[in-house]
Amino acid sequence: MVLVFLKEILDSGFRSVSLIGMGKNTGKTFTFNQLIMEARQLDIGVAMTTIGLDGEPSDSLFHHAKPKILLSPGQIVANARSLLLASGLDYEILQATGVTTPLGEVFLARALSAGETLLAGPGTRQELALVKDQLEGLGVDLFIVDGAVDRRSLAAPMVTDTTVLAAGAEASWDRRRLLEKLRHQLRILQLPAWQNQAQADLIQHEYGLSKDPDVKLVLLGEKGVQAVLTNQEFFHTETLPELIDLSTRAVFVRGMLTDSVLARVLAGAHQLSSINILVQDPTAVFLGPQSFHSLDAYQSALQVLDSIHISAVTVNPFSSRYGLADPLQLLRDVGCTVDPIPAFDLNLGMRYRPEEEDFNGIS
Amino acid sequence: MEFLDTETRRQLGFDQVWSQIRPASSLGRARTRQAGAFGKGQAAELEQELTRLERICADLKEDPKQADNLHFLLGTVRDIGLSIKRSRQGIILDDTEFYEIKKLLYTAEKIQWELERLQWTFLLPEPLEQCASCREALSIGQGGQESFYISDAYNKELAEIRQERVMLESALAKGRAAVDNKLIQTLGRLLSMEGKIAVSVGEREKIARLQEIPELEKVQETADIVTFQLIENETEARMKQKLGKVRETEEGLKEQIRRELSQKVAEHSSRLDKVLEQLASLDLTVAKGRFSAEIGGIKPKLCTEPAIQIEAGRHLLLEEEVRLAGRNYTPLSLRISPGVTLITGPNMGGKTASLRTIGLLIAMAQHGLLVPAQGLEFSPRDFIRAHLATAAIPKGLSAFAGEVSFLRDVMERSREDGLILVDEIAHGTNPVEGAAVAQAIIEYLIEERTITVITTHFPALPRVKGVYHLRVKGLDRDRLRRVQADSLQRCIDYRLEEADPSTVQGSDAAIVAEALGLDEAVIARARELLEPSMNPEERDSTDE
Repeated sequence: MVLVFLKEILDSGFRSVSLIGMGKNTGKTFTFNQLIMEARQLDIGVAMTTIGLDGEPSDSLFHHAKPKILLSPGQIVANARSLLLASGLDYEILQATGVTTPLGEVFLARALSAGETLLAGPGTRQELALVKDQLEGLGVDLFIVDGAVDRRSLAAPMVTDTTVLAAGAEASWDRRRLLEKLRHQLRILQLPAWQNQAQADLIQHEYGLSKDPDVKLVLLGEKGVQAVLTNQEFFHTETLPELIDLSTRAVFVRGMLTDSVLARVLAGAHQLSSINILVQDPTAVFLGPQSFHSLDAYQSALQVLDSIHISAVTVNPFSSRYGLADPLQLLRDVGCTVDPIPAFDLNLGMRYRPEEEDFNGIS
Repeated sequence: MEFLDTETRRQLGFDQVWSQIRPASSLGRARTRQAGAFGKGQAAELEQELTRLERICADLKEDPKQADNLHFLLGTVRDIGLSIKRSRQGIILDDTEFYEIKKLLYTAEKIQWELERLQWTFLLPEPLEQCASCREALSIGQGGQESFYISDAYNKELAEIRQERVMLESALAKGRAAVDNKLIQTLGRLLSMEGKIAVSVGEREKIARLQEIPELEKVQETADIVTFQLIENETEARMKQKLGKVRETEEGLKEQIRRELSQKVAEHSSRLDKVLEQLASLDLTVAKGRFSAEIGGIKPKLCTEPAIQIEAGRHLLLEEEVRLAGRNYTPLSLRISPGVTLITGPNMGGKTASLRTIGLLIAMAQHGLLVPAQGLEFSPRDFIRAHLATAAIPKGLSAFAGEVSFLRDVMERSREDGLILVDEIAHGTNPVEGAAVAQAIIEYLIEERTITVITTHFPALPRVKGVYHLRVKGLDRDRLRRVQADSLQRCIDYRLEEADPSTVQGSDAAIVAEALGLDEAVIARARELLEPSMNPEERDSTDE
C-alpha cells in the first residue's frame, strides 16, 4: 500500500475531497491529517478548510481538546482570522473571502512555516462553495474539507468531488448495530442520481433551493410537471391521491423528506407501486430504517438531483467507553458491509480486500 | 427643517425609489443611506452632479455593459476604516489588516485606470488618492503581489533568524523524512502526525522490519496492535528547544515590524480616509448613473425663477402599477409657481397621483438623480412636505386633527421656498366648515413664497382670488356608456388642463358610483337630490 489512499482519489480525477464522520471520535481528524501528510509526500498542492466548527477550543460533548492539523510550508488554508493569527505560524495572507464566522472572517493564507493550527472555515454549503471558487487560480491540486460531526457536515460532500466517511467503534460498540447504522447512513449518502436529466434540470430550475419555499411536492409525468402541491395542500388536504395516477412517473419532495412526509406520499400513491421519489440531495433525507423498508415494499426508488460520491470508508477501533475493538475484525466487518467501497484502517495501514481471503481479507 | 421628513418620503414613494440605487460596495451602500438632498444653496454642486450623471448616462445608453468592470472593482472595495482608526490610536495592526489596506490601494489604482479607460475621470474632482509610499511600505520584498506577508527584506535580523529557523526545521524534518523514506520503501507507509506507526500483531514480518529501523522504538503493544514511535535523540531534543526560542525571537521581530508598519499606516491615515471617502462617493455616483440610465432619466434644468415645470413626468412606482394592471400610464405635465395651485377632478381621476409625481420628481432631482420625464425645470426647494389621503394619522389625533397639525407646521415655513402638497384639504370634517377652513388656509398661502399644490372637491375653493386652478380632463362619458363598468379607469383622461376660471367642475361622483356598481335606486335618488341644486354638466355652464 504505497500511499494508495490519496493516490486513488487523485487518480480518479477528484480535485476536492471532504471528510465526514459517523460521529465523534471516529478518526476523522486522523484521516484528515493522513491525507495532508500523503499530499506533502507526493508534492501535491493542497488547500484545506473545515465546515461548521464552532470555534471553541474543546468540544462541548466530550471536553476533548479539539484536534489540530499539521501544516507544511506552501499549503493553503481557508481559516478564520482569529485562529490564523493565534497559530503563530508564518503566513502569506492571500485573500479575504467575505465569509464570516464567529471567529472572524475566513481568509485564504499560504503557510510559510511548518506547524500546527486549529481550523475554522465557512459554516454553510453556499459559503463553502464560495471559498472553493476563490481557491481557483491559486495553484491548488487538492482541496480537503474537514466536515464537522453534525448534520451540517453533510453540506461538505455537496460541494466537493468526493467524500471519505470515517466510521468507528465509538459510533456503537455493538457490532450489529454499528453495521446497521453504517449501512443506513451509506444508503442515504449514496442515493442514486435521477437519470432523467431534462426533468432534473427542470426541477432544479423551477423548484430548486432558491425558489418558492411554499412548494412541497411536484408530480412528474412523461411530459413534465403534472401538478404542484403547496405545504398547505400536501399536509392539510387530501389532494394528493386525486392527482397521482398511473401516468405519474415521479414525485419530487421539496425540502426535508422525513418519515411522516414519506408515509404521506406513499399513502397518497395508494395502489401504485414503483413510483420514483426524488429529493434535492442526501442532506434532505431524514428517514429511519423503517422508511427504507416501506420504500422496498412499494418497490419505490428514492433518488436525488445532486448525488454524493463516496470514495472510501475509514475505520477506527477506538471507543472512549470500551477501549479498543479488534481492529482486523472491525475492518473486515466494515469492509464487507461497505463493499465495493474500499475500507481502510489508516492507523494500521490496512485495506480490506474481499478477494484475498488468505490473510483475513486484509492487506 | 430637513428637506424630506419620514412621512413625506414614504408617501411619495421616495424611499422605495431610492432603494433601487445599489452601489457595489458596503462603503457605497452606507453612503447611499446617509445621502441627503442638495440644499437650495448648493445649486452649483447639484448642477455638477447632474451633469456628471448625464454624461455617464449617455455612455451607458450606448453600451450598458461598459461599466461592468468598474462595478466589479468597486464591489471588491472593503471598508478598512476601523483599521485606520486603530492605527491612529497607536494599536498594532495584524497581518490581515495590512493585507486589506494594501489590497485597497491596489484596487484604488485599478479603479483609477478604469476611470481613465472609460474617460470618466470627471466623476471625481481629483484623482483617487494612491498613498504610494504607504503601499510601498506594505509591499517590501513581496514581488508586486497583492497578498501580504512580512518578508525577509523588512529586517536583516529577521532574515537571519528565519534562516536559522528554517535550518532547524529542515534538520528536524530530515530525521523524520529519512524514516518516512525507509517506511515507504519497506511498508509503503508514513509516520503519523505524532511520529507514530502502528501495525497489527499478526504482521510479524512488518514488525520485524520496523524493529530493524534504529530511529524507531516500540512504545505500545496490545493484544491487537504494536505501535512504534520515532525516537527523539538528544541532538534533536536540543534542536527543538532551540527552535522554540528562535520562533519566539522571530515573532518578536515580526511584531516590531508590525509596529513600524502600523505607525506608517497612522501617518497616512488621513490620506487613507480620503481614499475611502472618494471610493464611497464614486460608488454612489456610478450607482446613481446606472439607475438613471435604467429609468431613461433626463437631466433636470435648474432655474432661479421660483417655479416648477414638468413635461411628461412619470412616477416610477405608479407607472409600474398601472403597467402591471395592463393599462396605459398618463404622464404629468404642468407648470406651477409660488402661491396655491388647486387640482380638481373626478374621483379616481389621478389627483393624488399628480401630487405624488410632482413631489417625487423634485425629491429625486434634488437628490442629484436624473428624472423620468421629458422635461423638468425647477428652482431648488428648501423642503418638501406632503399630506396625502394615505397619510399615517399621528397617535391620539383624528384624521382632521392630524391634517391640521401638518398644516400648522408647514404654514410656519411658508415664507421659504418649499413645496407643500395637500391631498383633499380639510375633507375629514363637516363639509361647510371644512370648506371654510380650507379657504382660509388657501388665502393665507396664496401670497407666500412656497409652492403649494392642493387637491379638493370643494366647489368654492377654485373661486378664491389668485388661485391657479388645474383640473383633470376627466371622464369620457360617451366611452363609459360603451364599455364595461370595470373599465372605468380606461374612460378617464388623466391629463391636467387649466380650468376656465368662470366654471366649476363637479366630481362626477354619481357617475363613478354608478360605474362601480352602486345600487341603481340609490344612484337615481342621488341624482334626484342633485337635480335642483346642480347637475355637474349643466352647472358647468350656468354656475358663475
